[in-house]
Amino acid sequence: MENKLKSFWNSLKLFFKGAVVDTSHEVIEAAANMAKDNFMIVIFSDFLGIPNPLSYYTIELIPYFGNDLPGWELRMSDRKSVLAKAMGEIGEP
Amino acid sequence: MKENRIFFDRKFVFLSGKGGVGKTTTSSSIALGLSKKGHKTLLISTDPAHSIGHIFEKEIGDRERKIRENLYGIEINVREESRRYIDGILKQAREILSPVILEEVKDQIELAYHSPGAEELALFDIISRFFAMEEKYDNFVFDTAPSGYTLRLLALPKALNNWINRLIKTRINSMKVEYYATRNPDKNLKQKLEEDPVLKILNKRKEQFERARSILLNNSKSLFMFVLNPERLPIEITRDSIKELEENKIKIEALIVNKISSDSSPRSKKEAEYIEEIEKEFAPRRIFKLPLLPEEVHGMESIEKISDILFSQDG
Repeated sequence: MENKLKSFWNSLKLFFKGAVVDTSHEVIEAAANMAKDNFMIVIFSDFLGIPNPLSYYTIELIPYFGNDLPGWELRMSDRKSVLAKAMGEIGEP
Repeated sequence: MKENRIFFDRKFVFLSGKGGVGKTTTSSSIALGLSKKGHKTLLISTDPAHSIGHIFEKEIGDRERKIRENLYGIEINVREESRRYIDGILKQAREILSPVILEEVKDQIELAYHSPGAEELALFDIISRFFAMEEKYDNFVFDTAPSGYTLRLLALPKALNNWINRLIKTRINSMKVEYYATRNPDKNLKQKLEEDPVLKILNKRKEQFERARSILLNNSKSLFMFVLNPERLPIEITRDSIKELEENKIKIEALIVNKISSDSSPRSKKEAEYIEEIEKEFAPRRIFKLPLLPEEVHGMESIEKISDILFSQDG
């Protein structure tokens, strides 16, 4: 009896982990990428054609973000529209 | 008489003025005068011609060197300093990044060396370094001043302060979200934030801006002076520069009129007119007057002469 209860409890835990934690994880991951992308806009604004008057200071940060650059460039140039992106995040109405 | 002595009670003295008016000569004489009164003084020259070594007839270079009792000098080449900064970043990038990516960002880093504000920000970095060692000397005398552009950035809290604060906030946010997105983080968030090299760099800059602001905009700590010659063009330039700086809360408290000739030539008469104009136009600021020496300013003896004239007028 105790065994059955325990396995039921474990299944229940797994169910909620799958239903809540794992899906929410993707959302948080996407949010993390977004937050990083936003910061990188300041450092690599020149790549987007926006001059940065303090680039003499921001280049100091380039070594720490260079490895994220290819993905970032792709995401920046691949944004079809801001609206489409937002839809993808919250789901179609 | 004593309460008017401006050279003694300011920790940082900056000299502005266009090239060739005698900033290095005047700053050397101010530094010498202070040292003779027992103030441990550092004279900082950013003149690429390395002229304080020439004036004091001594090899000086980019490390603090003793010139005489209580007087120390250092000569810094702004371009070289800037090169060193860029090379340091390139080295760091080479260590962290893959060759392909390095190729892509190398140009951007290199380009910053040639960017419009680079030289001014490099000079600002050099000056800031001495703000951080405030305790080491009684007085610091610079033969240059931060550019109008830099001072404007500092004077507007919205410009630099908000910029850096927002960057720090964005970075912390980004790290927080990234932390929650990591399934099995190896360290806790607080540790991660403390060890983040990006936040370290940003906080170092923030500190630099705050310290510079608290010194440069504080006229019980800093003294800004203009050096000019009794001629039409320098007067015009000085008028414009002073107006621009004072709009940004930087007070120019004194002017040094240098190279005044003392013969009875027509030139000398014209100069007298200009001096009168300067005294009227720039009142109530202090006006110091220095003669054109018959010999080239070179060696301790001639600097001592100028120094004595200058300090006899301070009071």
